[in-house]
Amino acid sequence: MPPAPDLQPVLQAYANPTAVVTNEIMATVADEIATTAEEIEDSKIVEELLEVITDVQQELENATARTCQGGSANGRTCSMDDDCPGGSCSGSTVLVIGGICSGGSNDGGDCAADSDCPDGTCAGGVTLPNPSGAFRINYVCPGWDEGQFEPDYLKSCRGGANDGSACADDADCPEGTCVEARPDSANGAINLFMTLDSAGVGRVVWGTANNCQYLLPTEGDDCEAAGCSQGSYDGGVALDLGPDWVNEADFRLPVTFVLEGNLGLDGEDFRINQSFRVDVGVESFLEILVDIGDPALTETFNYIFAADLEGVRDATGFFGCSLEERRCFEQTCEGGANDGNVCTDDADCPEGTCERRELFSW
Amino acid sequence: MRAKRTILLVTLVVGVTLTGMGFSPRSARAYHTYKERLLDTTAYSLHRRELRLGLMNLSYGILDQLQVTTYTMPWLLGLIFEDVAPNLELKSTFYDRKKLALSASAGFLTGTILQPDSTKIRYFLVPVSLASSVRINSDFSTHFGARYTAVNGDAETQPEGTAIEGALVVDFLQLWAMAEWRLSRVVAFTFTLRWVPYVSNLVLNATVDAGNPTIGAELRGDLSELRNSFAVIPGFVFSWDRANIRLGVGYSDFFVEGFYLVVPGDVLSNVSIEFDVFVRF
Repeated sequence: MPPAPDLQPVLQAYANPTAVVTNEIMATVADEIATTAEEIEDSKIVEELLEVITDVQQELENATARTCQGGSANGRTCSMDDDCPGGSCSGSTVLVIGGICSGGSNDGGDCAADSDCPDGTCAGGVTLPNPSGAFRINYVCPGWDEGQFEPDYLKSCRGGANDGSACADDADCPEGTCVEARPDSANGAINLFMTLDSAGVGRVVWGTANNCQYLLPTEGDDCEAAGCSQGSYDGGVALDLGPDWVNEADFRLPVTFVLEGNLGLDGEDFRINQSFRVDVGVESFLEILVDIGDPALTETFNYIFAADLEGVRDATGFFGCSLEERRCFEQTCEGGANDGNVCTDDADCPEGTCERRELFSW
Repeated sequence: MRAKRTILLVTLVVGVTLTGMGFSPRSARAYHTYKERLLDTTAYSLHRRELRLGLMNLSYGILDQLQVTTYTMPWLLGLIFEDVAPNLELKSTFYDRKKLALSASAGFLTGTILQPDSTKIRYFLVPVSLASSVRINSDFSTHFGARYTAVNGDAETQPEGTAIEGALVVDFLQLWAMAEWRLSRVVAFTFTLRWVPYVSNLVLNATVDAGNPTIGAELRGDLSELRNSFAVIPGFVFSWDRANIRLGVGYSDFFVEGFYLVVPGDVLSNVSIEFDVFVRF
């Protein structure tokens, strides 16, 4: 397992920008910021990577349980207090790898505790108390086959009378099983490393994408309406999930990326060597770390794109900018309770108005 | 079929034991004597061509200083779960002079646990022990020992659904001390203390293939809850003309004879038991 990259200097640069942005600086970097932001948005590489990570995280959550503290089931795995008659489900965290339901309505299904097996018991597997360590994730990319959006894509019978035939579920495979094959390895792969400790999944995820190919529907969820673009990424990946990353359903916190490689879109390659931040809970939020120092990270500022906001955060604070208008400005409340305070629109200025004053242009 | 085999094995063990009780020669009577010493938790072993048949283990003296033992429980439970668990332990009392005896032993236990989904988990245990016994006087002896057990296992992949392949390793050290007080030639009182001062992390290297992605795991499980497991077990060993009974009931964690493992006390209400019925001839 390769060592995790040290992302602390990058995180520090986001937290404490050191550059004082001027019109000369913006004249130098504005086009690059605009192009980088556009490529990141269009390539959907963020969504592709986060989907893999959240899939694995979901698997881990499903395999994680606690142990009963006290009562007649003391020491057994549990997921709720009801699993522990006379006790509570508050013992140590355990990771159950390969637990299988025996009996009940989920017979044969994966489980971590008896409560995952209605009318049955969770048996077998290896139980690791207070687990720690690392995971290697190998995700074969979906490729550019437009059939991938079909519900039964790559499903076929294994064993039985219809061995090798396409199927939708086990009912189509007498005496066999309907299984989903892995995509063709020629589609490329994403190989990531994650760590696990007492607090859960570690905040740094790293690895590589080896010419990972995927489709980007132009409209809707498939290629039928308006076709698809062919996306790809080949290069290094490092992510910081933040100190309070929770799970897929709680994407409120910024995720910091460092990408170094080639983003491809419909045959055109874009070289990227960039750190940026997204906040999936905030629509269209993208924060780009602009590094103008030599050596690296000695002089940085952040350029922020959001649905109702665009601007720079530098050593002096935040001010608005428009790459399209090629100027930066500050917006403050005039009149009202927040007179003089920074604002984004009139709603921030009760009984006043949010007025824009140009700082510089380029 | 499985029940029949189980009954057959139990019948065989009990039958052999009782047969031994009936036919043991006079020269090998089992009273507590200077020559006849306790074998379990001590440094002593059977003499050449001596045999011990018991519910918990079967032993034979290959040489005066070397005995071979197999524990019956792994065979019995293996039979119940349709996969026998072969095990063997060699014990050598390599020093036995005056009041001191020293022994070393090593063995193995292997078997397979069949998962509900037909996945097989194979395990292999290698216990290595050193023990010493000191005869303070004709009535009173003390015994000390240490056993290091290395456990490793592996699981084979399952062809359908979630496929798992992997290997796990865990090591632990057990120390024991036993005081033996011969109250009469029939009754000996024993007081045994067992303690686990060291348990390694459980190390697991596995590949979980649930489709796409495939996840390789290099994980450690913290077994420190088992560290400092202990048992305090007062008991008696009765040694009549032919039969021997060893019985002890104590407190805290349960040390499973033959499997070399420790079951946390709270699983069995902190009752720790030692029991065996055997004959020597």
